[in-house]
Amino acid sequence: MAKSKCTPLKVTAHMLDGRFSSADGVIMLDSILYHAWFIKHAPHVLEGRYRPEDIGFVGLPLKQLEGNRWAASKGVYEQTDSVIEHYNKRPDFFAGDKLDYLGMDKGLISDSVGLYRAYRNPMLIRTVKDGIITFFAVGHKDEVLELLNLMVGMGKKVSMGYGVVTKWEVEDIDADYTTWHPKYGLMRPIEVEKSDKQYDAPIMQYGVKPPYWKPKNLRLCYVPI
Amino acid sequence: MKLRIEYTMTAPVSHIGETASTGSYFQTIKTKAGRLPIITANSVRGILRDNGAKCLLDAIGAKVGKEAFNVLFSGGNLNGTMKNDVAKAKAVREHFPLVSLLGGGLGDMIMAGKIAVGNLYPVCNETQEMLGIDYPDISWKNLIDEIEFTRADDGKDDQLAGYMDNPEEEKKAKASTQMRYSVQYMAQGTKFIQSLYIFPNATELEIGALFAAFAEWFKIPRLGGMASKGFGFFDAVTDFGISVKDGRVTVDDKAAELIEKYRNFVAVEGSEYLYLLGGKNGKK
Repeated sequence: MAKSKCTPLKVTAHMLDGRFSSADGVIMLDSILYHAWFIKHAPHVLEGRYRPEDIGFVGLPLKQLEGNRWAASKGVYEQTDSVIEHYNKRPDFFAGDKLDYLGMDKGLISDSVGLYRAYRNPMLIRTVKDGIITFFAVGHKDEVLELLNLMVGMGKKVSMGYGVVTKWEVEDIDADYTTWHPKYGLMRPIEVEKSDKQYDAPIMQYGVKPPYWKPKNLRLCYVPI
Repeated sequence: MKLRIEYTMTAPVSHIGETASTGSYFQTIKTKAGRLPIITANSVRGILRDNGAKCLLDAIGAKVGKEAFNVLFSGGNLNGTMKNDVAKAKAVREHFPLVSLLGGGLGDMIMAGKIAVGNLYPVCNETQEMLGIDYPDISWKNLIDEIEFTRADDGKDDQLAGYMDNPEEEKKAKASTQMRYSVQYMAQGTKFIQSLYIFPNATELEIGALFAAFAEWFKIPRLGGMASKGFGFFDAVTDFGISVKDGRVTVDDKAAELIEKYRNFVAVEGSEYLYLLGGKNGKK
């Protein structure tokens, strides 16, 4: 059976508490779907059991653009607050209920310097009005929703409860807003060299496709910050 | 898989976010429902890690070196060039379901976990919509208060000072041990709700390890700080069959079966593979 045609979509994430961890505030839909694709098709890669021979095609249910990029936008939201929050890690070798498990009879362990140093890590946490983040895409509605339903959250430190999404919604819309939106402006990083338009957006090295953090994917882009 | 826990505090609970002068204030965050006091997911992850490690080491009757201790109880760290060691990743996930579930730093590699732990949100007027609950209409602002503590300098107590060999010297001591300080707490009776999300690739043994950690934790059910002063004790009801009331833990058949499978696995494995968590880059 021939595959259905990609159609313009609007994706809505309903968040539990409206908070997520992100330094620059840019959350890309294709990066969320990319992670979900690995959960569904190659979970061993997420578990660190990746082998070079596993290299293959990651087929997201989105319209494919030049350079193996995808027709997906950043998330748009109304930010009501941003704060620096910290999480702490303090190895506690000497707690009354733990010391007996330590197989050492002598020696010093410091939590102020060296390997077991305690730390307090800062993160930029953003709060979103009504806990709603909206994305745009061109793709296959049902398959996009199926992948999104595998995602517990978005942004950094979901393991600590940041960015938890309670419900994903995908609906058809009339127009493609994956590059430009009349209200929100630039919707995804656009490579300066390959763009025939100039955008009123910061120019910097930025990922053009997921994984966005990967140095190999960095290009000089107009960035929708 | 989503898990849900409802905690009912049987004692006041303190979970400090900020301190100012002699005051310690409850952890609060700004959410879509406004500012809320919470108990952080990070603290519960730490509790689960500690109790899971105890279960494991009690079952095999082993003590471990500081490297493995740090991985099991604190999540480990990175201390050198990262390597994508497939064999090590496979082995650690196969032999240590607890580490595989919660993730950690194994010296030269980061092991991603398979669980997302949510914060504990108080059941109150402000969170009704967020938590999808229907509870009596009370604001968290009516559940929070401050308590003052004092610490006396007994060296200045004439009757007790007689036990010192040089009481006059103590009276001249520059450093005072006398203190008065305040701590913000949430009231006994406050309910908190927490959600945990286990990723689809989690195994039965990993879920068993989690349930074993919960059952161990609930033997002394406490949250937050100052348990030594009577704070933080709770009853809890979960939707995965483990609960605690008045210090008595109950585990339903399904949860007990998963815990039993995990314990049997750990007993068979013994301490043979502990070297994977420490030593020279996890080598024998």
